[in-house]
Amino acid sequence: MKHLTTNIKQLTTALLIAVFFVTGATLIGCKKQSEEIKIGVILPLTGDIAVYGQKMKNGIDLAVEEINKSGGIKTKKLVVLYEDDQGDPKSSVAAFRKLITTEKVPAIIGGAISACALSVAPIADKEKVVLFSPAATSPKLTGISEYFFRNWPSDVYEGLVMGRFAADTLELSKVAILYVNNDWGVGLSKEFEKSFTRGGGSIVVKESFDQGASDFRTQLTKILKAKPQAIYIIGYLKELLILLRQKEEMGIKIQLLSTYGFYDPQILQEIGKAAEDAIFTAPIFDPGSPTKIVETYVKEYEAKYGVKPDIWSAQAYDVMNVVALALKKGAKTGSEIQAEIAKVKNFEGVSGLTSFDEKGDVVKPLRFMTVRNGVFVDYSSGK
Amino acid sequence: MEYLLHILVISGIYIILTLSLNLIVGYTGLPTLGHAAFSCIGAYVSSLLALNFGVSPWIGLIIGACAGALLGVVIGYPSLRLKGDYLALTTFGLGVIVYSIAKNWVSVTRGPMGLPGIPQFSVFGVQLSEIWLYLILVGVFVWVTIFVMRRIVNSPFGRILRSIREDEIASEAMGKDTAKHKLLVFIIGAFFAAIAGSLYAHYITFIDPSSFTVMESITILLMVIFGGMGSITGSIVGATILVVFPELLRFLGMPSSIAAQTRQMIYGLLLIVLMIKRPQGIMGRYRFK
Repeated sequence: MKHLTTNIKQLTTALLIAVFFVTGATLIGCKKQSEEIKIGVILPLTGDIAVYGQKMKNGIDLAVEEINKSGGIKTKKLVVLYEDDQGDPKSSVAAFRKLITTEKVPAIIGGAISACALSVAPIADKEKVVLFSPAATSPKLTGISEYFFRNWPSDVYEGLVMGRFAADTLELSKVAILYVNNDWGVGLSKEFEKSFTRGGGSIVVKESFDQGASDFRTQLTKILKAKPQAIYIIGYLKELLILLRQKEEMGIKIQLLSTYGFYDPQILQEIGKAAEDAIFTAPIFDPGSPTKIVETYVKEYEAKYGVKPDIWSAQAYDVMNVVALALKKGAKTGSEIQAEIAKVKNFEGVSGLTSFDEKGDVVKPLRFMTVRNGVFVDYSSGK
Repeated sequence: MEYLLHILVISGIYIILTLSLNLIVGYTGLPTLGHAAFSCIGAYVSSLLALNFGVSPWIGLIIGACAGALLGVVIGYPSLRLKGDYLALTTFGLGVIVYSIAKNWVSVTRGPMGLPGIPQFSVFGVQLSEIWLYLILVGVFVWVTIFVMRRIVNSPFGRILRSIREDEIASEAMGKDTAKHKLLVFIIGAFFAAIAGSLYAHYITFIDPSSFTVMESITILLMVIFGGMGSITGSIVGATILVVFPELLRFLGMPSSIAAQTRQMIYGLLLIVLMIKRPQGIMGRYRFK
């Protein structure tokens, strides 16, 4: 029995240390200020992916500054409370718990990467706190909770848009799909097939390859036999490079369709001519865009940070503004903010016209790009 | 309140990890740097069983622990031939291998995309989704681990472990089978680490390889050294403080532009100061050789 009592004694000591520290800190942290509206933000501010976290923080800081300069939320000051999660799921959960327990925030911008969003979303659902991710892309997040929103389209969204484009704008009727065999590739190819066949086209052949594969001749031969008008290729840069080279060697001259992975200077350097005329989807944010809202954003961002903004800060900037929009409409609790964000239609953000579907996924236009004379250009330009 | 409970759950999981590593590093004196590999196996085996075959987390936890023990044999075997730094490097390598398998065997582990939606434990049909219920579950496992560890180190078996630590050749000269004991220590340590991994997976309900890097192994080793090698109380205190302290630093109230970075620096500073002032750890008996 002696062991038992010592065990319990030790456990209690450990417990007491933890309880003492945290309750003490909680009390200090609970300063009540009713003149402020608090929103939580959890980003990877240190660690391996801190570079993205810092960019998103820049975007959020800029948005908050603008909101407060123009009178805040119904004369109340908007305050964001940052927590660092280092891109680590358990740290993300701790930060989330801290923000909703000690600060009682109704909404949290966070879960910047899919791993963190997937860990935190079930808790957000249970606690009825809005979780709004600026950049998580995993298809598994679609419909995970009514309290979860994201401003970056799901990985499979590109497929849907490209399918529609291929059927309506390019007026193709026979397309082959060549995809990487994982969640992303399978999901994307299904979305493409659905929207393309709805538009009147038909998929003549579907072939897959494993991630990291280096020989695509078998698949390409099969595709060639089916005589499609275009091939929709879904893969990562590494495979794309080899695939395109083998396609060139086999002398296949078929229109190429591809994904955001294609938008990489390495493609132009290493593939050159074989990439010519390929069409692919890309996110809408473009710092050189002539629209007024983007112009002011770029100007203010450069004035504040001395560098050009990119897609990461633009995404976070829009997220903060959407949350502020909900707050300005008088939403206070998590469920009220949830209801307001779900209603957002055609919000004019720097990353494009933003709406949300019933599953919390963002609906926003994508750009179609192509390669002409060895450079990436907008598909519509010069047509 | 849930915040506090969450920290306690995480502390509990790390206490199990630290105790199991303390048996290997602290009591037997075998420096290892691959402890996260064991918890990785435990987490993945029980999650995959639950997700693909609908196996109850309870059975998954046991199978995962056995798989961890099996890996303990694989990692423990080189320990029979290698000593000191060489053993540390070998276990480091095996830790990297397990991490790489989890990351690259995409068709089974889903690689860097991770495993979402892992089911939670349930008792008599009641899901332990309430965090305080889970804390009780983790508390029970912590208590069992402490109990077993205490029994081991205070038994004749434990005395042999310490004799291996002090002087392996003398121990062998006394007729003790040191090889068998070293292997057993790895198996026991791996078994409990795998349990901790499984508890983690079914709590967070999402795992990906990034939770089981070599850095994670080093963190656990840090907890052992910080608390004190060869001390059970030390492991408990070490794990608790190193889990609680970074959370505590969230309350410093610094401006947001430097808060995150300062938090990391203060954490590092704490480790440096403690190692200079008290190299044997808070409650430890031995210094790190």
